[in-house]
This record gives sequence, C-alpha cells and structure tokens, in this order.
Amino acid sequence: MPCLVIIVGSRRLLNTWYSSQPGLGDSSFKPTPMPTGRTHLAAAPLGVGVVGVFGGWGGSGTLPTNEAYSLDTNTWSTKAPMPTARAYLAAAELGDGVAGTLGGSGSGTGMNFNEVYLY
Amino acid sequence: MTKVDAAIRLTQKLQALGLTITADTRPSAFLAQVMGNQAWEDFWSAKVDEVRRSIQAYVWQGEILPTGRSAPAEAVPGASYIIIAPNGAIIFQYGDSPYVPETPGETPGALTHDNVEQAMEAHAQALAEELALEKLAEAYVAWVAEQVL
Repeated sequence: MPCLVIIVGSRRLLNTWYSSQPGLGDSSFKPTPMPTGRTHLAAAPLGVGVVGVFGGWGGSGTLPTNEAYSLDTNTWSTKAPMPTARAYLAAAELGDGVAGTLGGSGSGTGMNFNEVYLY
Repeated sequence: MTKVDAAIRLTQKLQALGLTITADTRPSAFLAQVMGNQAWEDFWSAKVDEVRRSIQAYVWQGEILPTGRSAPAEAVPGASYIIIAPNGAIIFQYGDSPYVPETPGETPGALTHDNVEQAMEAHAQALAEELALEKLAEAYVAWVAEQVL
C-alpha cells in the first residue's frame, strides 16, 4: 500500500508533525513526533519506509542533528550528526539507503556551506 | 555547556527572531537574573536534571515497541535501547548509536550488551541538554519582551 509521509517544520518549533496521507494506508495511524523540534530542515528517503531528517533551526541556533524515521516501527533513531550545523539546506536521495545533504547556512556566521555528506 | 556557549545560543535565538540586542537585553543580564547566587555549573546541571527526569530511557529486551509495532528482526534484545522524549517522540536505537563510547578493537558506534547502558544514558543526557537549552532560550525571549514592552 503506497503511503505518503509528510514532514512539516514550523516557525514555532512544534516538534514537527507527520502524517500518512488521508485515504492511503491506515487513517488511524498516529506518527510519533520528531525528537528534535526544528524549522528549515531537509529530508530525504533513506530506503523503503525510512526517511532521514537533517539539520535545521532548533530552539536556539542551527543544528547538526541527523535523525531517521522508520514507518515500519513508527520510531526514530539518532544518527551521527553532520559535521556542520546548518539550516536552509537541501537533501537528496542517492539510492541504496544513502542521501546527500547540500548547502545551507550556519547561525551567526553568515556563511553558506557547500558540502556533501553521505549517510 | 559553558555559560559563554549558552550566552551565544541565546544571542542567536534573538537574532533569529530579527531582534537586536541592547544593553538592557544582553544574555548576560538575563542569566545573572535567573541564576541568582548560583554558580553557572550548579544552575545548568539543575536545569538539565529537571528535563532529564522527564525523559524515559530503558534497554529494550525484545518486547513490542511503545508504538505497538514489532521491532525489526535484526534488532538485538539487550543491546538496543528506547528513549521517550517529553513530547512523546519515541527513539528506538538498535545496531548503532552516535553515543557509543569509543572502545579499541570494536566497530565504532556499534551497540553491544556491554555498552548499551552507557550509550543510552549519554543519549538521554544529550537530549536533556538540548531541551533545557531550548527552554532557557524561550525564557530569555519572554524576558526580553518584558524589558522592551
């Protein structure tokens, strides 16, 4: 059964909310919230039923946070953080459970990063 | 987390909201007020401990996950852990963890029966620190609003 997982970061750091698309899958399914509330994050598939969520703005600055959500278990796991804390970045699926994160902006530095990491 | 680190993060929080720090709204003034006579180390550890008490962490022994789902077959009971954050987020860490202490001769990051407790506690503590900092930043923004309005 196809299922769309929506990841939403809000300006108010509402711990993010995710949902299966109504009409697809189990409508009573309640996704567990993301451990780290943040905005301006990036997300990319890490394989079937798994999505990686990278960086973003936390409560008090940019984050190097790297967390993965599994639809099968409806749980999160924490992965090794990115070497650079950043928000406004992009992430893309590179195949075989691998994603790259690109660009972004650090807090207070005014710098834009141009780095690619694989997970 | 040093007092300087915290002050920097509070500054960034204010800047992210598009506000400028003035002499009356400096993070150091806020911290001096909320700390009272406490040393920074005592103040901060109390804040982190308070949040840590609201985080559940335990070694997973093979039972059904708190989400009602089964764990993947490759998850090893007794060498995996679960953390439940105050917001209800459920972290199921199996296989590896960035909080595994480095041990010569062992695969970096690999969870084992021997290191799972240590990794779990370090993970929960790191989460508590981040959440405590978020709470402090929110309190700072509220304090700045009081000073300005």
